[in-house]
Amino acid sequence: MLSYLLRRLLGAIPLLLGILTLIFFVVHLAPGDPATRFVGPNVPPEVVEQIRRNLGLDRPLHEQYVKWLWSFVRGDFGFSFTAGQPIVNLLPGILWNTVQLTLVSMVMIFAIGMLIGIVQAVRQYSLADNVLTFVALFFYSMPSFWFALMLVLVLSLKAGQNGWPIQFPASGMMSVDYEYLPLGGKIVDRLRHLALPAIALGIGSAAGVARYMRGAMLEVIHQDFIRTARAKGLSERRVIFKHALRNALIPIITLLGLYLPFLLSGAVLVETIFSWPGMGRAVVSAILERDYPMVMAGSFVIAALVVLGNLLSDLLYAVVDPRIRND
Amino acid sequence: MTSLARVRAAARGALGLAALALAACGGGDDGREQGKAPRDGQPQRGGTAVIAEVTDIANPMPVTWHGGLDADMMDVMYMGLTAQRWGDGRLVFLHSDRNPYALSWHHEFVGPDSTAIRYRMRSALKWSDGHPITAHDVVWTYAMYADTATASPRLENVALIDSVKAENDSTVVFHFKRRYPGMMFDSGLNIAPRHVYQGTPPAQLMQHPVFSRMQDLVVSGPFKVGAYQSGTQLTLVPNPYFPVRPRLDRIVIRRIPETTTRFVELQNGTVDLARGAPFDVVAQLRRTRPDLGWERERLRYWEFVAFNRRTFPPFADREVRRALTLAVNIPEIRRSLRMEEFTTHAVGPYAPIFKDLYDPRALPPPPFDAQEAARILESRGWRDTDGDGIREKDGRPLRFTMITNQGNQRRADVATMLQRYWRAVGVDMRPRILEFGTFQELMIGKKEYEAALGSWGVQLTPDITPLWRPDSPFNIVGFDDAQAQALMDQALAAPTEQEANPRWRAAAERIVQDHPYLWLYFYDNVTGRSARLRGVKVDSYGAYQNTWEWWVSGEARRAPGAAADTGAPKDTAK
Repeated sequence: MLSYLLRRLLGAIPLLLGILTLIFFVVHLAPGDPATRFVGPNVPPEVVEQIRRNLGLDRPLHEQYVKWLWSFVRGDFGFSFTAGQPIVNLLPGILWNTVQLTLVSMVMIFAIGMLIGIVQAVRQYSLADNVLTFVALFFYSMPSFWFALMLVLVLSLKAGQNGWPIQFPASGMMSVDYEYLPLGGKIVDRLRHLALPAIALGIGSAAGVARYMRGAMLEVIHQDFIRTARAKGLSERRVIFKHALRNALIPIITLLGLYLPFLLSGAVLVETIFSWPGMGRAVVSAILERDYPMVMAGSFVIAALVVLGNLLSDLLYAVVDPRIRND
Repeated sequence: MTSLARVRAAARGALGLAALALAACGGGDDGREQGKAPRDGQPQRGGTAVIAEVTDIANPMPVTWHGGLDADMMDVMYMGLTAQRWGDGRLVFLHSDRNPYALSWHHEFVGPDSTAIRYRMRSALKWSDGHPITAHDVVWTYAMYADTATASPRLENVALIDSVKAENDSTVVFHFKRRYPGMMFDSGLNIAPRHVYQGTPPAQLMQHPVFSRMQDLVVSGPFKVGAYQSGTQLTLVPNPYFPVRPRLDRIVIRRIPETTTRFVELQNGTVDLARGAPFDVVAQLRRTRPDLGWERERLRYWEFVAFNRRTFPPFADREVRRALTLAVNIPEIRRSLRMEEFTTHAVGPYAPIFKDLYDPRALPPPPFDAQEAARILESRGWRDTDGDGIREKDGRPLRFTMITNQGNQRRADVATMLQRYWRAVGVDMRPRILEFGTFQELMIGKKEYEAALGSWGVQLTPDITPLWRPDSPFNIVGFDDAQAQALMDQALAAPTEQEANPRWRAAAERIVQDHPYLWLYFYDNVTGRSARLRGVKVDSYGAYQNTWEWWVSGEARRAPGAAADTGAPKDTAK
């Protein structure tokens, strides 16, 4: 297993370098110039040229690439043009923000999605199955940015205006006096701020997981070993959760590998609406502002996390299916 | 060559480019609309104000800042020899007796032709780390402004400064190459702490390590950085060494880029000031939330259609450009898009906020006259010969592409209306919406566009040469008029405003007569304000000009957006 892990990790290195090289040339060759953010009618052209020199943008592209690559392999991601700080100072914070949001979303996606899928499979063609199918399709087909805005308007604005017992913050990661809260208060405060973005990000995917789970469970619960389990006199709960669920999990674990990159990088709109300073927003802002070092660093982190996510899902296969483990 | 001081105001005007992306704005003579927010009551100490901003800080240092929130933070963090403010239609320069933000208490013009200014600085002033603020800080800061390696956006401001000398710790003399109207402005730029930055090579100033630890920034203004989370939140706390004790305990600036969310937070009471209000949001919230106030930075942006005569030959004909102007009903655009209150029909480069330069009698708004537009086009040989509704000349249809940037609904709406107006006189305009960076590069960098819908920030100084000098990179329309250039040169060479202003006005007239742009409107930048925050002065100068006077009312002292039952230090009402 260890050598397998090592093989996969070593194999990821050329893959990541290839991805980053491609991104480097694409972003540098795309229209737009990082120095234009310093440009204004009152800024003389020679100042803009000097800024370009100070940022190293006056060098030929291949030279910039070699310089970037050399810095990169030494762990130096460079200096963000827009944030005015070394990227190594910024990235851990942004990554941690994303990990928080992603983890909560993932838990929500799989907990809710699997539960709904199981209920639907166990009660196939019942009223509950039909209603849940409708609800799942409704959320599955809803654009996340629209749903996010609706959440803000209903669960934050209207909840406040109508004095509902629960009102969620519309944006940000914490209250303004977060630093003065006790530990428990900090956790609650963070969870309150996480609620709406996590729901907006996860609800569509949870609906998708529910559909997959239903299909996988239906396939499993009609198999002979389930009948045998029931014939042995096992409780229905044990049959479903121990025997059927475990065997239905493999396609769901595949989804984990698929959803992780989506959640890490595809949460741009949700992060923007809720002012959640995560990776997606950071990378897209960097692309729009032509903040090349930030684009490269962000892309590397996302690509690395995708590789790790896929590795994780492969490992989970082995956990749930001993046959894969033995192979 | 230009000599007038400008940059601070220029970037304060968000440099046109930042403005290109903005959608928002606001009006009112003193920039303030009361709403039904209570305005009376005695100012009180203590409390927290929370502000929702679109952008974040990046490089809040006088020499190197280049736009965004950094521009506003200059009014919060760094003093200059004089406090520059907007008063009676022009920039005014105040000493410490009238504004605590000024480092000097007196100035005098000296030298044979009054080509030098001696400033006498207040004694006992200190930076936020306790170091004294001296004339040597001024000398060092101006040396950095002038050093080309620093790449300071304010390099042009010091072009006519010959030398800056400290006579002693509290007296500094600026020697200028000649006398000109902008001497006070140019010598009033924000001053940086020499003892913090002087060991850093000028080319590295922008990447000084202190920008990675914002709470260590050494400042002179009323507030310093208490805490900073990049991209999220900036907490400002009072600078104990500022001559006046700020009334607030904290100002928390939250970055909320999404407009809907920003104004939901204002309605929720979780922020006190929300910047960049779209006009339709203001109209809607006035009905539903009459308690909110609306502050206006008046007419700080100018929306236009640029006609590029370099790339689209028909635009080389002044009469064609005039016809396109006459064909557009600008009052109807303003009315239809419900922005009459926040906009003023633009005619010429000077906004109505300039008392000495805006001249509505000399430059009245051109009337909407589609018939006259059609007649002009006809007379210039543009006729619809094939009956398709589009005019042609020498077999070429009068058809062009107008670029604009995405993410701005107002501009998309204006583009649609322009298309209709021009189509009515036989001109086929095709809008093309581009990603902002690409739009910027095509319009300003490469100038590879036919027409462009965008906006410039309005500078607070009279110098208009950056947009109109033939060799300027910002002359995006290819304007080249010898008489206008001569007038601008004379204005720049004039020693006093009284001599310069008539020439600026005459140059503006020449420019308008050329119809290089379709002048649409000047518009306001509007900020929503909660009823609990008082004492905020907003005008064309900016929104952060008197933060030490801000206060929150006693009945609402808990910080907006605060979690319940915290162990936070209670706001100290005194």
